[in-house]
Amino acid sequence: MAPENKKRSLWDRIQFCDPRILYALFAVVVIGFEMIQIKMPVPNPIWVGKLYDRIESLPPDKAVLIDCDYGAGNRGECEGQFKAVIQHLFARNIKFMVVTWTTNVEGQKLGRQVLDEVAKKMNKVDGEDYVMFQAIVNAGGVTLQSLAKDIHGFVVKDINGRDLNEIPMMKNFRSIADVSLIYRVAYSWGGIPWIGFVQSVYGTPLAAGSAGIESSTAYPYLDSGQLCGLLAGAAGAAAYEKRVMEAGIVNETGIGTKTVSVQSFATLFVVVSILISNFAMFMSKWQSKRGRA
Amino acid sequence: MSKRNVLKIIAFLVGLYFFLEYILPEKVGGEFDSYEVGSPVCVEKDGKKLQFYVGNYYKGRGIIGRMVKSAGKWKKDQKPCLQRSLFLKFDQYGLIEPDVAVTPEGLTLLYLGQNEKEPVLCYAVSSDDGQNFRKKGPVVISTNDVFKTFENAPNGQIPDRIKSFAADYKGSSWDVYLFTMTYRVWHAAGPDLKHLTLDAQPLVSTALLEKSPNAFDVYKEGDAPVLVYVMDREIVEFRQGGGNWTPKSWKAPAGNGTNDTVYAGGRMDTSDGTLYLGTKKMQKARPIDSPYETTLCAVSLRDKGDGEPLAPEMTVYKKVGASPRPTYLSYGTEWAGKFLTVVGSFAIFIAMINLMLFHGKKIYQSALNYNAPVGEEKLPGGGAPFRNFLKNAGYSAVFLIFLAVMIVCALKGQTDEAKGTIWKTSFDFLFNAIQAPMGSAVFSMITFYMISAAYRSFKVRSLEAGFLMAAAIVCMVGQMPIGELLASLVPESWKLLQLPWLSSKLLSVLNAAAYRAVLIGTLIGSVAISLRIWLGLDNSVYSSVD
Repeated sequence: MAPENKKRSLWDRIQFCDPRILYALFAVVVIGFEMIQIKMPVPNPIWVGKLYDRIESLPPDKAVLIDCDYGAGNRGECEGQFKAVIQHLFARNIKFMVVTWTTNVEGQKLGRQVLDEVAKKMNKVDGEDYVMFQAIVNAGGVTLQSLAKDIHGFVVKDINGRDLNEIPMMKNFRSIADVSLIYRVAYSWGGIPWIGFVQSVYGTPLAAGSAGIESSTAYPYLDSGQLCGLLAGAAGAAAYEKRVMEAGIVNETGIGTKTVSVQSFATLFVVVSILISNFAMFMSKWQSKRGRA
Repeated sequence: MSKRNVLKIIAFLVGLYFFLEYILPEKVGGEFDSYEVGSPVCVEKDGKKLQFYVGNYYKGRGIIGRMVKSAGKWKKDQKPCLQRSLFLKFDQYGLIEPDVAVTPEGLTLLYLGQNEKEPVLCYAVSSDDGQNFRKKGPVVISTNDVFKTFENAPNGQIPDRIKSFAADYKGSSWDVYLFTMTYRVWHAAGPDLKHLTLDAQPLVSTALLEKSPNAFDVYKEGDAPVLVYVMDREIVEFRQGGGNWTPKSWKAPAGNGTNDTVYAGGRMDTSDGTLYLGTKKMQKARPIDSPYETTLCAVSLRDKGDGEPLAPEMTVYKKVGASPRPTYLSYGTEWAGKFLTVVGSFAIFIAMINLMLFHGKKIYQSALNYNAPVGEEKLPGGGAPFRNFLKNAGYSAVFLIFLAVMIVCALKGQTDEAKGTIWKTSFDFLFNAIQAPMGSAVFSMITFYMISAAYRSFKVRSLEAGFLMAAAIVCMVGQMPIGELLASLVPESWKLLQLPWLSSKLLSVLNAAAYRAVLIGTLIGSVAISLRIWLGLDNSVYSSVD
């Protein structure tokens, strides 16, 4: 706590400064770098490369199942992860199914906006190249188990209200046996039910995209091989976007690259402010020791 | 019996049901080969043609089924003749690559036991009648003085991993040919399957074909072995001459569809000629009513003389598109999945009604002036002043209005046909202009509080706090482009000073190990709690009963 009874020293005032000053400085940093957009080197995490290589080697006769569970709050980090991967899948002509949940309507709405935008740009057709299912009630592992066993029996309709049996691409994709990769993109990767009820039972590879702050819990599963790839935060999205751009699939960087540049300076601001606060604490202690002596 | 005990028994039975469903998929009812069939082998015993094949209930759970040819047609047994072990680890995950031979004991069936956590091992079983097999144990190959047989390596220390094999029994002696992962072929021979001796050198030491064959078989012409490699749509036979293996190939019989791939399996000489058995995978035109990948088996007849196939005799024993029948137990899983979905839907519905009742009641009470302060001027008709209403039930009113508007707009504006209508435009506006920005704003505000909290509280007051701060800074900066920028200033060989490298090691080694320990502890606790509930030892869950 700040000393109340005597006049505060400079170091104490720095240490216990008004949080509004911090808020204002932080806002200036974020808005400033958002406007300036300094080009930064994009990191190249190994697990991003592994997911890219995995998608490169997917067979064209099987589909990818995407669990789109991100929301407006983490859109900055997750949208790039979702968009870059579907651009890659479209470019490779690999069909995919997008699953969303009733517990997160934002995932469906935001996912659909991205899907429609990318599909339009890459001349892909809803129902022939991709399909988004009606949001499913999430009842834990049993839901995933039922979905894996019989997609048509469990989902019934797509987001446009069409019966799955009437959708051309769904004629060939009926169970998890027809799926070559599961990719879950969400704020928290939270893929333990996918691992427990699908990946470990059927051996279907699982990859994830999550917010940077949540990605640390995914590392044990990467190490064990239960996760075959991970896009961690905006940095993961930026790294994937870079690969997609280098492959000539798109000719401009996406939201991940834009976000990661600003995020980089915001992180630097946090680190510097913590260091200043600690330095002020040491100086204040040193001053009081000297005063007592 | 009390209600509590009834519930306990029901909970136990339901738990037992799903436990059995997990471990006994093919044991109780249903078709054991509904997912896929493959690796057929054939034998003629006492004038009766028998065919054995691997049937999968689902991916990677192979068990052996049998067919008998009678009156010119193959007839499939309803039950498998050999199942995977439940408790013996060597073939817990299934049986693959069978081969069969007629021996003095009757029929001996050899197979590779499958377990993802164990090495692939060759095992043998025998039967008097060709239907009921006794599990005999591993094929023991004493390699030589250098390679011994161990408890963990009952096949002997074969200098490679086995991928496939072929076995032949003639003149009271066994010949076993092992096809390995490096495409070598090793030969072992002996009087019985417990006393085989591996040749000092492999029969084939280099890959004869660039690709690994789908199936491998060996038959003998006199004493000389002929190796049969079955590729997609092609069968290649190799004969040894002058130290080299000479190939002779021909196309496997095609199926009806041009995109079918034939995976041939075993080969056998019968009184009718030579039979090649195989499976045919349908790549296209899979009928919509078949939820599983199905294959069919084809049998081609080859002339004894010139080795060229005659018109193929296609014997379909697994109809493409035939709906597989799940086991009685898996009906339960499907039912439970649907039941939980319905319950989940109701939960959302009930939550919505509850919210409507709660906020509706608040509005109603405010409107009746229940919460108006004493002495406050009342509106004509007994209602509270508007400011009181807003104070007490303003948020509730906003909530209910938006709930109603969103429901109506979502129901009417979600389909493709609704494009351009007022419903669709309103829904998009409400979502894009209100819900999404508000969600982002709330999330963003957390960042400001986090910065304030970190600035004030993240202080190095002890050695541990110092380590924590160092790790946090390395991980935060190391994963960002700024970390890459800083790393580019450090020489490549000084890895320890490169933040991205250090950050990746912290996350993938230290963090992973620590988090794994936490997870294991948590899950052990979960198992203990689940067991207590399942066995009825935990009464807390039934506290409201009775």
